Amino acid sequence: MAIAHVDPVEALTVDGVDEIVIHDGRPPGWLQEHLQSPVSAMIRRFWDFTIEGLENVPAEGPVLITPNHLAFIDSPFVMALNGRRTLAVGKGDYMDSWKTKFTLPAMGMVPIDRGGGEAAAMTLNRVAGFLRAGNAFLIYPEGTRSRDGSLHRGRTGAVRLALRTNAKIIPVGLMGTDVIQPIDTVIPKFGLQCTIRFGEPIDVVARSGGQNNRRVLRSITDELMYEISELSEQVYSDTYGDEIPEAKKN
Amino acid sequence: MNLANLLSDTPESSIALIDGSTHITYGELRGRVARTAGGLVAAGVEPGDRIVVLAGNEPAFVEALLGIWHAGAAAVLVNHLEPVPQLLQYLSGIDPVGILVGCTSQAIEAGITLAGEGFADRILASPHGVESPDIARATGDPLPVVARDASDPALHIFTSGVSGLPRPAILTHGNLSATHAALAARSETALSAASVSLGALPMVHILGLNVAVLSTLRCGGTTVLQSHWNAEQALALIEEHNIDTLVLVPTMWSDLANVASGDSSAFSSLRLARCGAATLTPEVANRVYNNLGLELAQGYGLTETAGTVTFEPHARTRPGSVGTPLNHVQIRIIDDGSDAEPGDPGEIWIKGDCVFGGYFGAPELNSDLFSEDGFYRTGDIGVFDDRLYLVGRQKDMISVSGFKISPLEVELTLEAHPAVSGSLVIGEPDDRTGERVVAYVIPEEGASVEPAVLQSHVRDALARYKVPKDVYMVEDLPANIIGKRMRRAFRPV
Repeated sequence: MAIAHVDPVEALTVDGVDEIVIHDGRPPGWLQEHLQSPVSAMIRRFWDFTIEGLENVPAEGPVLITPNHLAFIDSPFVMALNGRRTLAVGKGDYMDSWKTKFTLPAMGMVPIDRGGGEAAAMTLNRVAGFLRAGNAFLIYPEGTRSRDGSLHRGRTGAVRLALRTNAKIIPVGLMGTDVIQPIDTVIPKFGLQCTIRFGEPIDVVARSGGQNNRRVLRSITDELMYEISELSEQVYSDTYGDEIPEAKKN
Repeated sequence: MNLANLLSDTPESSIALIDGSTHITYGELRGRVARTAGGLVAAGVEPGDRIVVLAGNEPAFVEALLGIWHAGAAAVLVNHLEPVPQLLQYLSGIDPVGILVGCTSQAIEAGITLAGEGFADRILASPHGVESPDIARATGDPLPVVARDASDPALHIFTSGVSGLPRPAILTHGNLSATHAALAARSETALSAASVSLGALPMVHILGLNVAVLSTLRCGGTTVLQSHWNAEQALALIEEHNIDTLVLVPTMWSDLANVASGDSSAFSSLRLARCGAATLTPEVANRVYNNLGLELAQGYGLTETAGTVTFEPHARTRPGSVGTPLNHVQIRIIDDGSDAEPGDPGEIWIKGDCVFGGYFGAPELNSDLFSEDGFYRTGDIGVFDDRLYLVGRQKDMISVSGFKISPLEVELTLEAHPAVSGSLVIGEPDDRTGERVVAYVIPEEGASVEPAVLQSHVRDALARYKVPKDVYMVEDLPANIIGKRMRRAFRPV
C-alpha cells in the first residue's frame, strides 16, 4: 500500500473536528487484526529481521509510529511487525479500484482525497479521530521516501496530531529496505537483512510546555528526527525530502 | 536632505539636551552646531570628508556629530574607551581628515594619545573642550547647512563585532531618517515634542544614537544624557526629569530592577520602556515587571539597518518575539535559497530605506551582502510565525550530526537554573557528530552546581542533542559594551 502524505502546513490553517469514517460498515484494519500474525510469520521467513525496542511500543492507547522512509515496503514491514494493529492513510484513488477498495481499508488504510488544504485538513481530522479512539497510526515525518539515503527534515504533522490527541510518538529507525526494494523497483528482493528499531516514546504534550505554535511544532519535530537518525543511523540532511529535484511523492 | 536639519523645526527655547545641571535649548544647540560647522570648514573640511567623533555621552558629542553633518561631511563613530591599538586599527582603515574631541577627560586623554600616534595635525577640539595652543578648536562663524542627498554618507559606525572584526557600516542621511520615520509612524514608538528620553546607552551604538537620541531630537523632545551607566543615578534622573522614554539593554534593565526593587513609583512617568541590542531573557522581563511594574517592549535591528526594524510591545508575555516589521520594512526568512515555511528557521533578509549600502572599504564583502532584488542578508537566523523570533547568528549555530542548534536557546535554558548567573555556549569539534555543544557557566555568587545537574536541567527542557556534552565553570565571559555575548571572541583556556 502506498501511503499518502498530509501537508501539515496547509492543514494548520483549518480548525479540525475529529471524525471516524468507516467504509463498508467495518473499521479500517479489521482484517489486519486477524492476519497480522500469519503475515508477520510469512515476511519473517522471506527476510532476515532484527527487531529492537519493541517494548517501547505501548500495548494500548493512541500512538504514532514514525519511521524514516526508504521504500514502499516500509509500510507493510512496520505495520506487521510493531505488535499492534496499525492504521495508515492511503490514496483515495484506491477506493476506485475493485482490487483495492475492500482489501486496503481492511488491512488498515484510511483513504483520503489528495488535493488542497481542505483535503489535508480532513485527513488530519480523520487520523485524529482514529488516534483518539486509541489506535496506532503510521506516519512518515519526512513525507516522502528518501531519494538519497539521508534522513530529511521532518514535516510537523505528526507532532501536531500528537498534541491534538495526546498520542505518544514512537521514533522508528528502518535499515535495509532501500536494498530490499531500491527506489524505482516494485518487486522486492528476498532473503536480505532488515533492521527495525523502535525508540523510546516522546511525550509531545509534556515537551510542548502547553504551547502549540509553529516554532514548538518545528522544535519537537527536529527532536523526533534526531531520535530517528540515531535509530536508523542515517546522515541527517536539513532539507525537505521532496525538495530534492528528482523526488516524487509516492 | 541633510540630517543636521532635524533641529530646525523646534522652538528656540525648547530644551534639547540636559547634562547634569546644564540645560541646552534647541536655539543654543543650533548655534553651537553651526559654529562647529564653521570651524570645520575653516579648518579645510569639505563635503564628503570623514571626521571622527571622539567623545562620550555628552553634549559635545551631539554638537560634533550635527556640526559635521552641517558642514556636509560624514561622521565616524568610535568608542573612545577602546584601547589605543584598537582605536588605531579602526582609524587606519578609515583615514579621517579630522578627529573632533569631546570635553570629558577620557575623550581628551584619548585625543592626546592619538595625537602622539601620528594624528596630531588632524585633532580638533570641541568649542568647549581642551584648551591648548597645539590643538585647533572647531569653532568659527556660523554657516548655512550644506545640502546633502539622501544617498550621501552621514555615518560610519562600527558593527558590534559579534561575528568577527567590527566593520564600519556606512549609513546615509536617508537610512537614518527612514528609521526615525518608521518609529514615528507606529503609535507605540512615536515620540513628540513633550517626550523626555534618557540618553544612557553609548551614542557610538546605533540604538543609543539613532533610536534614542536622534529620534528624540527629531521630534523636538528632550534628552537627558548620562555619561556612564549607574542604575541609582538613572533612577534619580528618571524621577527628577519625568523621563517617559527609556531605551536600555537587558543588563541595564536588570540593574534598574535590582536598585528599585519593590518601588515602582519612579516609573509612573514612563510611556515607552524598551529593551534592545541584546537578548532579553524571560527572567529579566519578569523581574522588571515584578519590581518596576513595567511591561518591557523589545525590538530587533542592526547597525546595518540604522536601528530598529521590528517592534514587540509585549516582550514579557510573548517571550522570544521581537515583534512585527515597522512601516516600509520588508522581511523574508530564507532557507536554502527560498522562503522558509512558516515556523521554519532561516536567514533574516531585510529590505527598506533604512538598510545601508555596504561597509567602508570592503568591496568584496559588499558584493555579497544583498540579494538580486535588494534584500540585505543579515546573517541572523530567525523564525517568522505571525511575529519574528530570533534564533541566533548564522555563524554561531552549532551543527550536531547535521541538526542545527541555537546556542542562545541553550544559554537561556541554562540561565533559567537558579544557580547560574551567566553562560556562553559554543560548538567544538567532535569526531563523531561534527560538533558538540559545550557550555561555559558563571555560577551565581555563593552557589555551587555540578555539571551533571545542569546537563540534566537542559535535558528536561530541550532535545537530547542540545544538551552540552561538557560544562565548565568560569568566573567571567566576554561581552561587548552593550552586553552582547561575544561567542566568537571566546577562546577557552
